[in-house]
Formats: sequence, C-alpha cells, structure tokens
Amino acid sequence: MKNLLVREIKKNFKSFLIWLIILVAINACMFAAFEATSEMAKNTEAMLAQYPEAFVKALSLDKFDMTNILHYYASRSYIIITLFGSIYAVMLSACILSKEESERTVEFLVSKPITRHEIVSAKYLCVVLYTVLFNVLFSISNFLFMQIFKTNDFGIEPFLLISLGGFLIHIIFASICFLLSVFITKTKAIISVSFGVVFVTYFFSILASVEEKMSFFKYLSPFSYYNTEDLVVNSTINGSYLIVSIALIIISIGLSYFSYSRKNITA
Amino acid sequence: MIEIKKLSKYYGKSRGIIDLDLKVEQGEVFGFIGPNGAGKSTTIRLLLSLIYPTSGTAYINGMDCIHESKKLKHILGYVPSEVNYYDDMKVIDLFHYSSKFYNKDCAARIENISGRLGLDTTKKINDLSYGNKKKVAIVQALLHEPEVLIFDEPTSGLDPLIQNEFFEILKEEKKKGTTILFSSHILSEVQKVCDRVAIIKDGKILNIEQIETLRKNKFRQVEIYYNGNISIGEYQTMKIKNLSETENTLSFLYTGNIHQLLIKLAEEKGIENISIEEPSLEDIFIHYYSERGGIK
Repeated sequence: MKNLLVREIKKNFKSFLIWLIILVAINACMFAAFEATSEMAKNTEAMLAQYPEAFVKALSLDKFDMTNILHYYASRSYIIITLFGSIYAVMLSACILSKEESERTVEFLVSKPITRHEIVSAKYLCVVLYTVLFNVLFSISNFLFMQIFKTNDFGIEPFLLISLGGFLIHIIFASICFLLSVFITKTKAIISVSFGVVFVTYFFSILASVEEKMSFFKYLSPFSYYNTEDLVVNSTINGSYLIVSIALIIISIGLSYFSYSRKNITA
Repeated sequence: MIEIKKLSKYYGKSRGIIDLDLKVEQGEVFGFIGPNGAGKSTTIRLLLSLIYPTSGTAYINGMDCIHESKKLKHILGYVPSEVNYYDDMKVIDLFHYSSKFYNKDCAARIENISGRLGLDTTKKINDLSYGNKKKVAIVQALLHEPEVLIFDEPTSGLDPLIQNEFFEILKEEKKKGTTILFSSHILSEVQKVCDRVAIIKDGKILNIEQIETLRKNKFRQVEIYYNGNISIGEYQTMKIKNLSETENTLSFLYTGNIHQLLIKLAEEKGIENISIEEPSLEDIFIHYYSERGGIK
C-alpha cells in the first residue's frame, strides 16, 4: 500500500502545487484591494448601494464590517477560494481511482500483491493528504496576508473556524466524488458529474440565502453548512452540520470500500 | 498448481464461462485455446480476482483466488492480452514500481530479461510501440521469479526473433518448475511449448488433451489429386472428417486405420498424386469443434 501511496503522492504533486499557487495568488490580489475597500467602507451604505440587493443578501455583505480584514476575506474571497478549492478536491478525488480503469492500468495494479481495500486506502489517503496540505498551506498564507494588509486586529478564533469550514467543504466533496468514481469510471463523465455536484450545490446555497421560501436548499449544500456569517460574524460552527458532514464523509468512504471491493473490474 | 472447480461466471444473463473444471499440474505448461469470446480471458480474470465468480472455486498453489488473492499474487506473474501502463513513467520506473510490490531487489533479473528481449528501459512508456509494450508486460510478469505464470496471448505484437527468445525464456521457466497457463488462439505456438491443452468454446471446455496425444493419434490429413474417376462416395463411408472437394482435389482428415486407407487408395486408378500428412492443430481443433457442437 505504501508503494501505491508514494506513487500517487508523486504523481499528483504538480497539480497540487499549481492549484495552490494560483489560489494563493488570487487571494493576494483580493487582499491588495483591501485598503481601498476599507476606506470606502467608512461609508458602508454608499458602498452597499453599489451592489444589487440580492447580491448583498446572497453574500451577507450587510453583516460584515469591511474595515476588518477577516470580514473582508469572508465576504470577498472565501466563497471563490472554497469553490475553486472544491473543484481541485473533486478533480483529484474523482480521477485518482477511476483513472486506473479508464486508462486500463487497473489490470496491472490488481495483478500485484495488493488488496482492493489497500488500493482504496492508498488513493483516499492521498486525497486527504493533499486536501489537508492544501488547506493548511493556504490558511498559513492567508494568515500572513492578513497580518501584512490588516488595518485593525482580527480574531484568531473566527480565522481558525473559517479555515476549518473551507477544509470541511473540500473533504465532503472529495469524499462524495470519490464514491461516485467507483461507479462512473470514464474520466470525462466523472469530471462532468463531479463539477455538476459542486456547482449545483453552490447554486442551492445561493438560492437558500436569497429566497426565504427556498431556504430548505441549505440542507443540500455543504456551502451553506459553513457559511461565513456563522463562522466569522457569530464565531460559531453549527454542531448539527458538523455531524452531518462527518456522517457524509464516513458513509461515502464506507460505501467506496464496500463497492470497490465487490465490483467486477472489466476495463 | 492451478485448480478450477465448477467455475461459472455470468455477466447479467450473458454467459462468461459455465461449470469449468481444470487442473494444471505443478511445473506444467498448459495451453488454453479457443476462439475470441470463448471464455479464456474470463477464466484468467477470475484467477486474478479482477472479476468474481457467480459460482465455483479456483485455487492456485492451494490458495483461494478470491480470499487469498494478495498472498497468491506474490507468486504469480501475469501478461495481459492488452497492455496498458502508466504513460508518464519510464520503463525502468515501472519495473522498480512493480518490484516494490514484492519487496524484492529484481534489478539483475530486469536487466537480464530486458536485454534478451531487446527492450530499452530508459524510454517513456508513452513512446513505445505495441510490441515493445508487450515486452514490458513480459518483463514485469517475470521480474519477481513467480512460481505460477499466466499468459494471455503473450506473443501478439512481438516479431518472430523476439518470439523465439520469449519461448526460450519460457522453456527455462519450465525447467525451473514454474507452472504456466498459456492462453492463445494461435495453435502453433501452443504446440511449441505446452504439455497439455484445453480447448474451450462457448464458455465450456470441449476437451483436454496431451499435446503428444493430439500429435500421435492416428489423425492424418489426406489430400488426393486425381485426374480421372475416383470413388468419392466410398470415402464418405470411411472414418473421415472435414471432407472437401475442389478442382480434382479431395481432402479430408482421416481418423481410421491407415492400412485400410492404403488398400482403398491402391484400388484407385485415377490418382495423380497424394499427400498424407500429420494434421496441424488447427485441423484437429476444427475436428473437435465439428464433433462437439459444430463450427460457428
């Protein structure tokens, strides 16, 4: 199993580095605009008036103190970073197992002394490792940027919560798409489905926050589980959603082990 | 030793193999021949636990192919019919990656077999021709010195010189006592190396024979070139198979007493020439097919 894990780590390192650098760079650009936004925010009403009402509501802009750099991050960058981070996570997790079948290398792998469980373990461990590493390194860079660009102090606890929220969203999507890739093994198909899962649930979270009648959509979207208002403004993490998240991850991985060890590999 | 008992595999309602029984002895080279879709690859995939049986059991060297798969694969080498490896790797990287699964230093063996097959291990797998990829498959199957080898059409894509070298390697493996299951639809190559052969069709084994028995039985391929009248009808009453008649040539597979045939031939006045040969395995193969269900 160690052999396969090392191979996967090496194989996926380059794309990890590219995604990390790009997202850190985007984040840096966002922070570069903080000072100007912070100045404008002294006249908050004037700034908010620039945006459509639904947009303000969707991003909870009316709840944030834009002179606080953490609030600025939460309202401006968090969703972009989480969305793109989720895309990276699902691209990694959806292809890592299915590629062996779509590229027909699975026959080689299965003919070696390794069990199906070990294959799933090595591949999922690699996904977890890179998702954790991505979030840790991104959060460190995020913290450093905030220290550099801040005009006032910000709370450490909400910072840690928002970092944890992003990580949980990534790992939920990664786990769900890992499970889907046991059944959908064609690369194009699994990537389309995985992107679909991320974007549709993102859309649900927008719907839930804009329209009261559609607030039930929030239960269907991990993006709503860890929204910035809870994490940064209220400095809390919803316990029920945390349990749902852990359950989703455990079920996805449990089913992945179960299904992969029983499937006929016909590639 | 490979032992398959009442092994069946259905894909939904469609047939893979049905109640297959097979025993390959320790140190034996066992041929597995049949047309495409007969069930050869299904059987091999079951042995490798790529797919799971609907019913029945399969053991290799006493280990259950499903439940002791990992342990079993330490002593198993496999050459697939279609070769697909990681395009981003160099050949040597794939061999090192492969070796690590066995926790063995296989460097000398890799160098030896790669050299004999004329394989450049510094190349990227993506840049290799089909034949060279097949060589990669052979080396990675042999590098850990397995006790059991499974070959699924191993020579396709190899040029004749390399094929000969491959058969030499195979003979050396046999001398060492390696058990070999050799699946192919090219009968002449099975004839070259195998001790016994199983003929499979429509998911069932039609017959298992010693290669020597197949060769030594009294089957003879007879061709009669005539330039006058010969009593074709009388031949039809004799023990013959696959009779065909084209432009003054009568050919058939004779399965009866050779003395009776010679007496019959001596009576013929119109014969211009005659050829009596040992039949090829192809001819015997057709004989079995026509005898047990017809050729489709």
